[in-house]
Amino acid sequence: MSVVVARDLDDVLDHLSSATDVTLLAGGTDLMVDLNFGRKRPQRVLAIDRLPELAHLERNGRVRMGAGVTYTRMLADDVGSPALREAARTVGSPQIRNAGTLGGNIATSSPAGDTLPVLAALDAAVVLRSKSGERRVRFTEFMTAPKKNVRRADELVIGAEWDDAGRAQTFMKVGTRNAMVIAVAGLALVVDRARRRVGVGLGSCGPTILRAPQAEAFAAAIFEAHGWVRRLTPSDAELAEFGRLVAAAARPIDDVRGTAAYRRHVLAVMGARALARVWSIE
Amino acid sequence: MTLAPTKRKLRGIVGESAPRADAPPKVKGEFTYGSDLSREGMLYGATLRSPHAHARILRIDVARARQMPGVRAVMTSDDLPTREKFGLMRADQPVLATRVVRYVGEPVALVAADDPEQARLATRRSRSNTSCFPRSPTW
Amino acid sequence: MRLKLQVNGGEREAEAREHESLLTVLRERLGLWGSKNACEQGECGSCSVLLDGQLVCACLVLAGAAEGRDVRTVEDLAEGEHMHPVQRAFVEAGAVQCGFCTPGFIVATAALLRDNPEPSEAEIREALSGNICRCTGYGKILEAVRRSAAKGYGDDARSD
Repeated sequence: MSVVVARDLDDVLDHLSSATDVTLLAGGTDLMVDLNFGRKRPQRVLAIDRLPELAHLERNGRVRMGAGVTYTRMLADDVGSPALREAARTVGSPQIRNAGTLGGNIATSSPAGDTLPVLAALDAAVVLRSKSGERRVRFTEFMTAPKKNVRRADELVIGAEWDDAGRAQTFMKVGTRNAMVIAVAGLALVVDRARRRVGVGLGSCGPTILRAPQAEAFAAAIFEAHGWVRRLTPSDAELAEFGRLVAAAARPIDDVRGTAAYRRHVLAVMGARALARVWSIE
Repeated sequence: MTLAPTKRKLRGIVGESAPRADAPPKVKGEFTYGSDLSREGMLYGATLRSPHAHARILRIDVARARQMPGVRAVMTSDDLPTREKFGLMRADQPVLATRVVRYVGEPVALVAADDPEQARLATRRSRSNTSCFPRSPTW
Repeated sequence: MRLKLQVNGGEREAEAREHESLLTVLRERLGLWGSKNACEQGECGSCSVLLDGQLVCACLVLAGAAEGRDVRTVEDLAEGEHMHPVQRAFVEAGAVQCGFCTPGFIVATAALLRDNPEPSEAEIREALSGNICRCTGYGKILEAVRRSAAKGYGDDARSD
């Protein structure tokens, strides 16, 4: 096993294009557990957590967040997505948040990754770079199965991008504790009032992060009828129907953390609460 | 809020809140716990534990583990100098499981090796054949 | 491999195997046994240190990736016989029983008060959410944090 600290982005891309057995290490909150328990001994580890090229965060209508941005940085008010900030706050603990990164969450592609439902709801794109160039892949197309995605071996996730969708967004998560908990179910709701779009992302409820197109259409129709910029109190029936449609979009299984039936139940509850919460946010 | 003074003299015994003698070294990280002990040339231990709640041990094979470089000893209950049991209220717990394992995590074999990595690997190279008892109905 | 890093204000060198964590290097190579190894997976916080000023679990930092960086452990807080105010507060509040979790809590508390000298109750709980204690039930630990955050506490002893 060898360990190399990457000097810069070009150094990383050189490594990735010249060898097929490179394991990237950023925050280490995933890989180090396997190393500590002797479950993995990767041939080559390339430490990329100090690269300035991955630490960018720009907002000017379009948000561009580097893969090296940690969850702690995502807690800032102006991070470019209130739902992302809420999701980051549910991750682990201060120690974990200081280390874990957006890029790690994306590239690990766990169905339980907390930022991922937000990226789906924002219709975010994953930005990949290699020696041969750069490409963008919609997040919903990037992750294909649990822990599987379309990143090629010579590519690095350098960040994610999305249209700044305003403040009417939220993220919710159900778990057994208030901290240090892997989601039993997660839900992100984005209402982009300016662009007249509703996005819903479901986490831990299927083999990938799912969208809920019928729930989105249902909510969008109500906004369309009442006006996207008006603040209104939705009826209980509307909230319940939205929750029902959110739950219906899930494809959960029974596993160690919960049953499929429970996941459907909590998604319906979270869906109704999420819509009630963002309805009044301008 | 009033704060306790930093230096306190014990005026008597009865009614005094005595400062805890081991607290200062513990808060400074200077207190030596078992896992903080270290000596030149020391060996490191690892324990093979039962993954089953209730099973009969048919066979334990530690030959491969014993042959690993750096592994100095692998012990099963056959290698213990005594079959005496221990316990807090009642001496009914075996040191290493003999014919039956009775809880998930019960020690089955011990490894001593030159480094912790080898010790852990040696527990993985140990093999046991077990036959699980039927589980009780859930209650 | 040979590592060079800043530890508690001084340059240190250490041997490390490629798979080893910073925690292993601090304890077994540099003789800094204060940080503890309990869960090996970043859940208990007993290995909490400051890496480039940020609170992290040393068991989740690959030693090789810590090359050239600044590490502060619990051993950095006291000055000889004089305890850091946070340490003294833990002693006075009765927040130390077996003490295995204590170094981690002390480093986490010191990091909290450095960034937020007057934390609310909720902020204290959030800041310590990465540290687990099996003995105390957390009551005295929270008291210790409030005590060390109180105005004027520690003015007579060294301040950080």
